[in-house]
Amino acid sequence: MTFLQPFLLFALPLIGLPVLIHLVNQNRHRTVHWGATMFLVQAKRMARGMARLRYLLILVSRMLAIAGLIFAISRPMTGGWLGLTAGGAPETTLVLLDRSVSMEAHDPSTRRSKRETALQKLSELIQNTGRNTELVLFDSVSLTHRTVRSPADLLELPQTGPSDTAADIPGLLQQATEYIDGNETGRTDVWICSDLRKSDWDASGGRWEVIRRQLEQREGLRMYLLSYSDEIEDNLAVSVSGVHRRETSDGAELLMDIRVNRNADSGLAANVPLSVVIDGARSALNISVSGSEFVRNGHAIAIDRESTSGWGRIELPEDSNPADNIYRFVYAESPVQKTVVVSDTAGSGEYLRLAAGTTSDRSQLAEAKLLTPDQVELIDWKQTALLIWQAPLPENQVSGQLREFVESGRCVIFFPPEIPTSKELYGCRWTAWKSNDVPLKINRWRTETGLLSNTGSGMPLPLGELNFYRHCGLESVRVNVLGSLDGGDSLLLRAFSDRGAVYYCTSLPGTRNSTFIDNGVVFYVMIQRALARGTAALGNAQHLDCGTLGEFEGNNWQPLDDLSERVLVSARSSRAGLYSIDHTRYALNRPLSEDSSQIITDETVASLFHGLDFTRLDDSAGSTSALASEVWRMFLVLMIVALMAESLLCLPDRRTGSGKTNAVADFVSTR
Amino acid sequence: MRHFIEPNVVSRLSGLALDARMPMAGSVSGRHRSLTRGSSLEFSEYRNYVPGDDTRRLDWRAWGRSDRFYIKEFEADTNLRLCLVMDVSGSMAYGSRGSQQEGATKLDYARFLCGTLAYLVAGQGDAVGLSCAGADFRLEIPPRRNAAHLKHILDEMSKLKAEGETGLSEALHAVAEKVSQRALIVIVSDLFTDTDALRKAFQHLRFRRHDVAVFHLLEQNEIEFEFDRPIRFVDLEGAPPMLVDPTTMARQYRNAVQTWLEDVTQIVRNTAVDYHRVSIHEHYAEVLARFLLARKK
Repeated sequence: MTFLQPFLLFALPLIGLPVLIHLVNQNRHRTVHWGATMFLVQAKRMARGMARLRYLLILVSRMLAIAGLIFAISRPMTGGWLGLTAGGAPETTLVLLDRSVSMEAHDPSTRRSKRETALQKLSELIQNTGRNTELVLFDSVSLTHRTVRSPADLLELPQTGPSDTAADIPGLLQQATEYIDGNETGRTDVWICSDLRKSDWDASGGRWEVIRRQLEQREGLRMYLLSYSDEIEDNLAVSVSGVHRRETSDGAELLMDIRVNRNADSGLAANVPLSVVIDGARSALNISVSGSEFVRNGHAIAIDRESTSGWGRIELPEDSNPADNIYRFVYAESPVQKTVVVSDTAGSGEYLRLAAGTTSDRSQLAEAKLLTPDQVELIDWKQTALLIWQAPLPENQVSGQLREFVESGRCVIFFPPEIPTSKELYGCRWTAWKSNDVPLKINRWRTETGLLSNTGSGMPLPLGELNFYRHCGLESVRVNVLGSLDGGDSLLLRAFSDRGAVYYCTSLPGTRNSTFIDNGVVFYVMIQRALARGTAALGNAQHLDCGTLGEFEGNNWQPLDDLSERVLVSARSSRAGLYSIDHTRYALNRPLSEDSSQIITDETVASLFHGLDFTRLDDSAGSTSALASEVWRMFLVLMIVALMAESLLCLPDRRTGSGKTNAVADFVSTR
Repeated sequence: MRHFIEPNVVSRLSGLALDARMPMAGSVSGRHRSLTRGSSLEFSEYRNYVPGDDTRRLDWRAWGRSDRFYIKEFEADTNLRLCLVMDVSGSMAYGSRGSQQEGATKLDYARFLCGTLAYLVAGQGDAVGLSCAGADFRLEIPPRRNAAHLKHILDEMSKLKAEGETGLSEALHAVAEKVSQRALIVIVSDLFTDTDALRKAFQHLRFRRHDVAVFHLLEQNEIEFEFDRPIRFVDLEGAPPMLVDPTTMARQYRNAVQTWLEDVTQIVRNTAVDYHRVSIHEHYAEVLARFLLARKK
């Protein structure tokens, strides 16, 4: 409980006033010489029970009345959750806002989303309780902090608005931890507003341990989780993949895989009218969704033969989350998926070339070239989508060219050379080869993201079947480990880069090194995923996830449809839209991980914050109950009740009066 | 005269003699009915003559009319033994409105009552004795009927002090045993003692055929218990002091007093004691006048 006028609590010792008066009264007694002591003894014996209790109750009532008055004028605040605001207002309040797509799910009656509800409640709470607190906002889109002048601004700032991105909650917490450490925030309240999506929380990631350890060292830190984990029913999410143009005998057609997810499987089939907009022309497509998912692969839509490039969207009718009702796509003639393998080992290089040069999609053209480190000048940096580097890390000019290659959005995978050198690139350096007497297995890997993530149908890759006989040591800083071997060494990691992707794999294909080739699925999928990522940066039709662009990257883009025109220029990196620049078209959509309605369990949440001063508050979208409100009326009522009780207890006993009258009357009549 | 015998009261009450409620067994002739037949003017009965009777008591007129001898008998008049029992326990030092000043206490009131009564009784030729009831103090002056004895009693009465615990029951038992002939026992006390012991003492007195009268002295505050602030009550009879908040136990106190008064009333009713509950705020002359008038034959 906190108080708006806390200095008035210094008057609390006045609660003892009735006791003090009682004691003073006792000491101010007068002495009477008394003859009828026998009656005093009897009366005292009789008064030991109820009368003493009554007197004690009177004292307690008086104390309660004073306490009620003091508490009432101190203007206490409390919430529906006991102890929510206990301990007084903090010096700093950090708000960590999950702005992911799933937070846009709203209550049908109030039409207020989870994000809006959380902001509204936090704003009211801070306005009422923490008037002198410094309010700092961390949002999941920018992952940076911003000082907020007034709690009411939380509702107005563009940084608290909706977005079509995913959220990185551990990343948010890391930023908050750095802020706390760097700014000496004193007593700090950290409010995390999130819907606990599994994909956003990455509960199995290694960052949580570090975050928890850092936060445990901070004194005066309280963590609050304002959770909106309840699932809004009847929500559908549409997505499209594999859009490509194909010429037919009649003209041309667009092929695409359409997927509609339903968050609750009611067992009943639902007819859903989809709208398909291609280059501004709208058509209808009725589907029947039974179960939790509808998939239509290779859905063909006829287009003009002359339309070699264009854009489109698929739209769902309005439901409880408008943010996942539209999916945008662009199309153009497919580029050739070019891979360059630079290898100092002929055998391994060939395996790598084969994996990259064999495409699974017949409509795509793939091409892979094997070069030795001496032939680096032959690399076509502009047309290559994926560079596989199995040689000593490049230096000087080649190193610069490679960085530019990555910065343009394409992909590099480094494999260990036969003779490692001390050269460092992207924070990583090869050390020495390690031979394993007992073949090592992969013991941990990231299933939700990266090259080893689960398949689109949710199936995990058969990583458990792989054996590793030899791997190369790797020193690394600021990396994201995607898979690690028994013993803790990394197998696959992603180095930090602003754009593009840089991967390091510490083992090679080949019987001497691993069973990558024997169980070729993992190896092939890994290479193809990297190739697909690199190819996405090439060509004239690019599909990007919101949140993956730099802040100002889309400033010069031209919107392709009316919906994209409404998006603020500054918000283009975080909002879905269709854009073009030069001859390249971009479709920005929400990350598909947001379509998964899986949330982390209560036990997981508890374990993530174990050891911290942590309070979880479960709320729901559209809820109107306040997190905290003034409760001085309750104390005023308490005071009135206490005063009434005191008056009742002090009323003269009717039997006492009549007893006295009888005694005196008897006395008079007898004499 | 002592200060507790006021001439105006004595002169006012001198016309009211103290009468016994039952026949007395005095040693000399007096104004009170005797247990035996005597030579007073009050005719009692006739009986047949038996040889040896005094022939002077033959009713000759009856012999003349009936030719039989009848002896004419008359009531005997005898004197009264008055035994005053004064309670001199500490509680008798409590006075009007709590005052302990001389002249205002219950003991002073008892002195006025007993002194005046002794004076009146001695004046009508009856014997007066005095006993004092205190745990640590015991005074016993047997009833006698001469003037010097009255002076002695009044002297002793003026010296009495209220202190210590009560010994009323023991004193009454002693009186019952030591006053061998019928007497009027007048008890002046606040009766702050155990009611069972009091009952037994009264029964003892009545068993010995004594006429018992009680002046029950009470101060109004002792009954009403009108206090509003914490008070340290110091017991006049020596018990440890008690710090009491009267507001928390006034009801219980009054209930205890009520119960006690009812018990006392029951005891005096069962033992046929002439009971007078007296407020010490009332003038003793009124109390005595009421007492004497009530005993008129």
